[in-house]
Amino acid sequence: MPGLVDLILEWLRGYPAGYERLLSMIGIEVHWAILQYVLGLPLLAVLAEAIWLRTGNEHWKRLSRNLAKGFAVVFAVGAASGTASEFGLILLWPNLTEAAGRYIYFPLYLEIFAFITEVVFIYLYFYADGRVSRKAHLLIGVLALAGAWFSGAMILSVNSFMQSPANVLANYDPTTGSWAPPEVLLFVPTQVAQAIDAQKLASVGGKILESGADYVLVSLPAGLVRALMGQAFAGYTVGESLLAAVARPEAAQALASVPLKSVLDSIVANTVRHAGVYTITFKSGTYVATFVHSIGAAVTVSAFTVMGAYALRLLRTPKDDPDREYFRGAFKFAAVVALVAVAIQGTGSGHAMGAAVAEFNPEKFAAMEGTSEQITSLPALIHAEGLVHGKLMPLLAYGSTGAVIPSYDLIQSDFRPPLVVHYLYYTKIGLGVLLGLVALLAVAYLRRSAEPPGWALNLSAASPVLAQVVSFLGWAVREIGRKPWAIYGIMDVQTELTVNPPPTWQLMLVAAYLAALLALLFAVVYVYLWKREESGEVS
Amino acid sequence: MPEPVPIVFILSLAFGLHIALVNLDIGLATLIPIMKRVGERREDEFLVRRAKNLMRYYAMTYAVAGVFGTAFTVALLAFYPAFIGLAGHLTWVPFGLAILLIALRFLSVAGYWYLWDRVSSGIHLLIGAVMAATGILIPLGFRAVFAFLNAPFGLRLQPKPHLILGEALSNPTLMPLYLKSVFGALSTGLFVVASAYAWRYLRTEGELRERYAGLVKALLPYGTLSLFLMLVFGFWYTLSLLSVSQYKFVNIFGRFLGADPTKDFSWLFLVKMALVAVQFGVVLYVLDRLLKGLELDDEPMRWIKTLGPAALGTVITGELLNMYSQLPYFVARPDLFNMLPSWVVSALSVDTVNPLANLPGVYIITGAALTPLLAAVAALIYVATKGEPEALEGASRQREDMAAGGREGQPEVSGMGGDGGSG
Repeated sequence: MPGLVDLILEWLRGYPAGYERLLSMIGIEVHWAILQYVLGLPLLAVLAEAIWLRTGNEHWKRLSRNLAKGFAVVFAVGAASGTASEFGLILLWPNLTEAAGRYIYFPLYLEIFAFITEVVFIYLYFYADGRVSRKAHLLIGVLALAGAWFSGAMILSVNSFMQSPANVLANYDPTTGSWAPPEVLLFVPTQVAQAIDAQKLASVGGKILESGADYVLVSLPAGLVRALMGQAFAGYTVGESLLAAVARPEAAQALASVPLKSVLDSIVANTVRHAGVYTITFKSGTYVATFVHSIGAAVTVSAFTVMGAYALRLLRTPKDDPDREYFRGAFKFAAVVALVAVAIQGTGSGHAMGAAVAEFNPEKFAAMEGTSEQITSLPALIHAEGLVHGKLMPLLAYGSTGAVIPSYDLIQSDFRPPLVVHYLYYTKIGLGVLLGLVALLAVAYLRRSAEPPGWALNLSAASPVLAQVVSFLGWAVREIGRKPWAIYGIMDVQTELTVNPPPTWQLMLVAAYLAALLALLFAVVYVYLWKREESGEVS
Repeated sequence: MPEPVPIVFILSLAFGLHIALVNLDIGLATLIPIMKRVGERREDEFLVRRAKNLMRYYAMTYAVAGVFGTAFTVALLAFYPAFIGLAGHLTWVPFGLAILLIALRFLSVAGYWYLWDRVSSGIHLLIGAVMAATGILIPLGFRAVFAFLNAPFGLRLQPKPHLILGEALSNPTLMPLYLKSVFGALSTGLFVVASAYAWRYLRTEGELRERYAGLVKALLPYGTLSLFLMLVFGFWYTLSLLSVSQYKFVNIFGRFLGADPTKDFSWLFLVKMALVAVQFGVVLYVLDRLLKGLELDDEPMRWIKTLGPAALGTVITGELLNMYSQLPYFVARPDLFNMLPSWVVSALSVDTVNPLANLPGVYIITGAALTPLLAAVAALIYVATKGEPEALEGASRQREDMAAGGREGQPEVSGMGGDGGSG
């Protein structure tokens, strides 16, 4: 049986571009670690300000202002890290970037406006405090929050499309447990379709489903689409490509010197037109769950961070300090929000996400559950495989204990995601439960006394790190589990990669550099929270 | 087919705003740590507070610059995906270098902001130095790419498209373009701040006026020197274009030299030079008054207020001139195109627009969304710059502290949580 290290190495080396993937993962995590506060802190600030408007208690205003001070610079840092991530994606995965720009650009384009909304209202919230009416200021806060979430909604739709495009059908039957490769539906322009030989198409697993005014709807096995996409970006002509094998002889001859990329472009562009240029990414089956779960993660991390920050303050402040009452109130507020958020994450949105993965990415679901003879899954380790995989998961994923969850080993080998996601997924679940217990403990203590004891405050102070780790693991499962695909059923990792991959040492150096910077950034924030300004001003 | 006007407009708007703010950003990042340090050494609380106040605006400048930079890249990706894809395959080193510096920069910006008064003055200065240095160095990577677009030094297409780094860095347009940009940014930052203080001077009563006048006087010589150096390196850049990128050179200067430009942008060059002339005119006027032993009173301050907008206008027109003068190509060497494969030539043409993005709906959405948002940006700038006069700031701060329940003037307020609180 392979150990965890073997599984990590299998993820790194068993799929193309391992070090490029590692660097991307670190770069995007740096961005996400920061970004969560842009999505989460405005909600907390607006809530605090709304309570202030209702109660008139100035401590709430103070909390709201401090949170705004926090996210004003966090946003700037998030924007800069986003730019760095964006350039990183362009440099390492230019073919994927080009395809995204060509076919699913619209949400990215809309994100420009979301981004402008965000920056304008986040800074207005910061600067307009005391210069506009109280209600107007609250409204500005709501708009800042709306801008941030709108931005998240756009980028998450693109990511969801990459996980499960609307025109790619997963082929798993939970009633029988049978698996087949996903099918890709393409609206082939009539002119191109005339060049295709239906019999030859059927021999490679393709089907003609219907015809319309300007298209013929064709279903192709994902393996064939993946190969064609690879050839197209490698600069093949039609004559050199697999397309020639399904073309009528006269058409194959006529198109022999035409770049395959041009022909595929006409097919994909027509497919996008029919699916909806403006809406295609939002039709991804995993989109809604992804949006709710990701925003939930951001709110959870933000709430735990605020809770941790005020736990630190309480630990550092003398008992007779007049600020202590404010710190207690802020801690309590954050603890309640954290508990609510983590509960929703664990039950509502987490469940919806899992069910969506099971339906639209059965291969990833199989890897997450570790339904393979190659490893000892965690349910098997505690002798609960029958209960977890036989009853609980079928019920949660498919709504029936009679359903069957997919077997990893039955999946064709070149469609299998890395098995390491099983351990990452269950670690995430375990740490998520722990996180919930920390919040529950804090709230339970606060119901009985003014503030929790020192050990509980210490635990709360450590909780932001735990929350960040859980959030990171969630994305790691999602992204590692997307392999071998860049876009599920359409483009694989090898195809998206640059033709000039950097040397491994450069990739590792940049990865180490980014990781070190993230650690330093957290150190800076820690010092900020830990130390008062020498001038005596209180944050 | 002419280059698509709406797309060029969208790209210009995003790029113009980005570049204006980036220039301001570089200037502020350099100025703030120096200002704070000088204030500390002189034990001048006023100066230190001004530096801190500038840092508040800087955070906004930095963020908005980042937003519009991303907007530009995303718009470019939507309309010209093949060009972005090609650039991605070739530019690992220059863009990679920029990424490393951008990452270091956001750490230093966050560090400088969050650790103000929380670490020793020396360490804070060191963080500020990193913030300033990265601001000055980030454009090197981007300018290497711009130089490549002037003339594709180091490009090889066989056996696959790749870049010979040494050749790319030896591009004759790189160093003058970079140095011109850096000094342009410094002059812009310094002149904008000088303008802001002149504006404050005019709105302030009492002895603080003298403090603002002193700041203006201190900033102007450095801004002027930077502007002068920008012109020197600009001239060098012009010569380098003449040597390796004649298409671009002729589009800018051809009309003055009797040549026949494909796209005549000499008018934009004249606009830029007029804005430079405004800046020099104001500086000479101020210098003349000072040499005559006159003080900087209301009249020169009113003129100094125009320096910032003129400086920002200069860098925006300069950048747009640099961008437009190579239209309709992304690489300003059409004479080389017959040696390139057709897909590369197509990717390098501004006319090759993504058909899925070149839709009326996209332009309608852009107009409908952008108009109110730009109005909101204007409101933001108005609110952010509508600072209360200095004389009132003390009272204002006290009010804020009271409201915040801070240490000074602790108000009697009930708890928001804890024992029987409302939390």
